[in-house]
Amino acid sequence: MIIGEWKPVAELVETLRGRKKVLVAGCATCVAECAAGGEREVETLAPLLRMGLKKKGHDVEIVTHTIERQCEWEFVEELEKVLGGVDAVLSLACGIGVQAVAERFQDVPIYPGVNTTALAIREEPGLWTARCAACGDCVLGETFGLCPIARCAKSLLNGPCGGTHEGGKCEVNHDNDCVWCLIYERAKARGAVDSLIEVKRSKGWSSSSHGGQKRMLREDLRS
Amino acid sequence: MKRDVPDARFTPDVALLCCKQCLADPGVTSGLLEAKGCRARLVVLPCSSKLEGSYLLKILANGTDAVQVVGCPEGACRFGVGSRMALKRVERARGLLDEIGFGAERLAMERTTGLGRQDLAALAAGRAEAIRPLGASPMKGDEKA
Repeated sequence: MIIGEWKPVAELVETLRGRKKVLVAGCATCVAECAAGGEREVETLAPLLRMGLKKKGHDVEIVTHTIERQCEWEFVEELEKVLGGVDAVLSLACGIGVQAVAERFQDVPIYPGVNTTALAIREEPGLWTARCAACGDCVLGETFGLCPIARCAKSLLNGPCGGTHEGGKCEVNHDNDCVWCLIYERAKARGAVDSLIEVKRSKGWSSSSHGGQKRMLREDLRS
Repeated sequence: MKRDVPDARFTPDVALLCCKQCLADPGVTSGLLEAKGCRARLVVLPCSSKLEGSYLLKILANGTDAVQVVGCPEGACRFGVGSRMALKRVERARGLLDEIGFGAERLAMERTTGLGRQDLAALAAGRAEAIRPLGASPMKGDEKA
């Protein structure tokens, strides 16, 4: 899923200063799963914004609405019915959702309430970790299903780097496992350590985020 | 944030949200509570873990001066981790209140049990005293959703 976290509330209060009626728009998919932008978070943030703005001397009406997905046009349409009199929208969706809402409703300023951070998995309640960097050239088949691009601080294709900390932890962040240690352990369990000796050639990065906006086209799906 | 001279005439409105397992007398029900120096309203909950951060913040955003949550001590929660989870939600909400300059003191949680009416009144009065230096909530009279 896509994960994100609230921008600092004080920053959001500053952003919305002077607005008379604000829609706080939630998204019930990825950002709800990571407790950043679903209905629960929308209903938590709304009273905070009211209090924060009032504290600074600004009266504001806050309306809330959470739709299934802010990243699909059909769902975004639903927001039209709650936009009456609204002079700013605070979207708690990921960056995709914010852009979709901004594109559909161009007359109203749209602000992001969430910083989108990664493609991640929920490890346990309250802990999410990045698992994919959307690099566009997947190497998981060569690394025993563990991504060195997203999970190694240096995105090494031929690891480990030599700085692995005691207990198999990353030298950059000791909270994180060294993914190359994990790859080695998995290779060992499968009796395939030899496959790691072969030096992997440079990866093509043109399909990552360096070549401008990514596009995916499937002619067979177009009308 | 603090006022230099607390207003002696200020009578805080305090919401006391209490897990029913913390009550010595199961006959105590939700309603107004006589407490010194404040107007206290007791809400009896089936478990403090029923509380969401949004509920606590909405109570404050609707003009209540302070919220006091009461849950079971560690290890005594009938549902195992209910009061522990409630405490975490309260702590998060307190941090957010601080961040917007509203005062974390307006929200607190006590983990105790065997409470009678007088104990509940004392908890409400204690919360009222704690927020007296902050003065009345800026949200007074701003009761919206």
